[in-house]
Amino acid sequence: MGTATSDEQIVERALTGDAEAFGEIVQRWERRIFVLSFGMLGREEDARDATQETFLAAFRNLRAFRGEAKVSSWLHRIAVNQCITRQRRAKVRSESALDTEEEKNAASFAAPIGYSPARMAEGRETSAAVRLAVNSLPVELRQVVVMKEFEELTFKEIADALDLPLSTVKSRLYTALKQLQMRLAKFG
Amino acid sequence: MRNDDLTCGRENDLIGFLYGELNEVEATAFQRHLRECETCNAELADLGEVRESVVAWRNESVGSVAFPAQVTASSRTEAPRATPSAMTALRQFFNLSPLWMKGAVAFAAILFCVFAGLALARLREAPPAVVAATPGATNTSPAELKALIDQRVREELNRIKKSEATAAAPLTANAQKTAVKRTANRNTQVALSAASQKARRPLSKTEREQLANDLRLVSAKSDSELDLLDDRINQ
Repeated sequence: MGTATSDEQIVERALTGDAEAFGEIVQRWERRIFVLSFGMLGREEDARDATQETFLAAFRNLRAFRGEAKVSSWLHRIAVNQCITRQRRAKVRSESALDTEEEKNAASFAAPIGYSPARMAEGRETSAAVRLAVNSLPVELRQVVVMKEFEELTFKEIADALDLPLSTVKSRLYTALKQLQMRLAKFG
Repeated sequence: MRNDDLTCGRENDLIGFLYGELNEVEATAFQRHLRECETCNAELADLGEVRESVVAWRNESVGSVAFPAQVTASSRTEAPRATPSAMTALRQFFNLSPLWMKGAVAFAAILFCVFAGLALARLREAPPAVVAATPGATNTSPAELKALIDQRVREELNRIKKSEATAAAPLTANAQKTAVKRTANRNTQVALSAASQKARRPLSKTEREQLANDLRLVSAKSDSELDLLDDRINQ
């Protein structure tokens, strides 16, 4: 029975100069960080950029990692921050281009760039509606939904990653699902 | 703010039940509550539908994304994978790179190739070493190299000899003429010397008689009677 090397052990190796260790971290977590970014941003290109930036930021700050939190939580936190930063930038860019009140409401929490209700009406309506609804959630709600539904993390893992009490994670998820329900009913 | 909260105040239990994260005791207790609370029942059904919609969107969007590492969230408990090489990790990391970064790397690679080509061309054009000047000498062994040098030296010597011979050809002709002249002179001198030797040698009686006859000076029969001065001197 083989013993799995923990993320923390790999990070220790990376800190002692093992050139391949950080590659292992990337290999282990890139998929989940990408999925998280995709759920947060709603666009593949943006998600790839955010994933890239997440690992670059992690590599740059590797020495700041003290092992107080799990590597997974640390990476998630960096990824969420990267996504929030990107959304803020996107919001600034897209606000001036939005005309209708409906679009403004949908984009009030940084809607994905280049998206419109007209496009949503063309095919894949349900997925498009969900995508728009998720992306219009406040960041603190959206990240919980994404971590739960896209990454399939447990409440405890989400709480660790976001450094929140377990009860807060649950209540945020409940609120997020309720808001999604209302938004989807409006789109439907 | 939480105007959408349940009146029974069991939102967290409902969420835990919805995602199957209640322990056995908690789950049994909430199921008992569901039998009594219609609001929670309706809420559970509604949120279940919302959840299904989100999962459908996730499967549709993320499932269509080509991704190098086929690691899904549900496979987190799998056996540890083999340690990837640095190149593999870099390749996968590069696959995540944005388009602008891929473009920049491609441009840098093209630039590198161009400069490498230029450097090679410049090296070939540079004045070659003596050995490199010999065709095909770039891959010669030390023995072949020595043979080539010897051959070159011999060729060079032959060339020098030929050029010297060409330059010396008129001189040789003159020298031959001079030699012929010298030989002729020497022969003449020898002949004269022989003649003078002969002249100094006293003639024999037969020779004297022959000479007298040739000159018709005296008759042959009286020759022995002549009192020649030469005879006396010679005697």
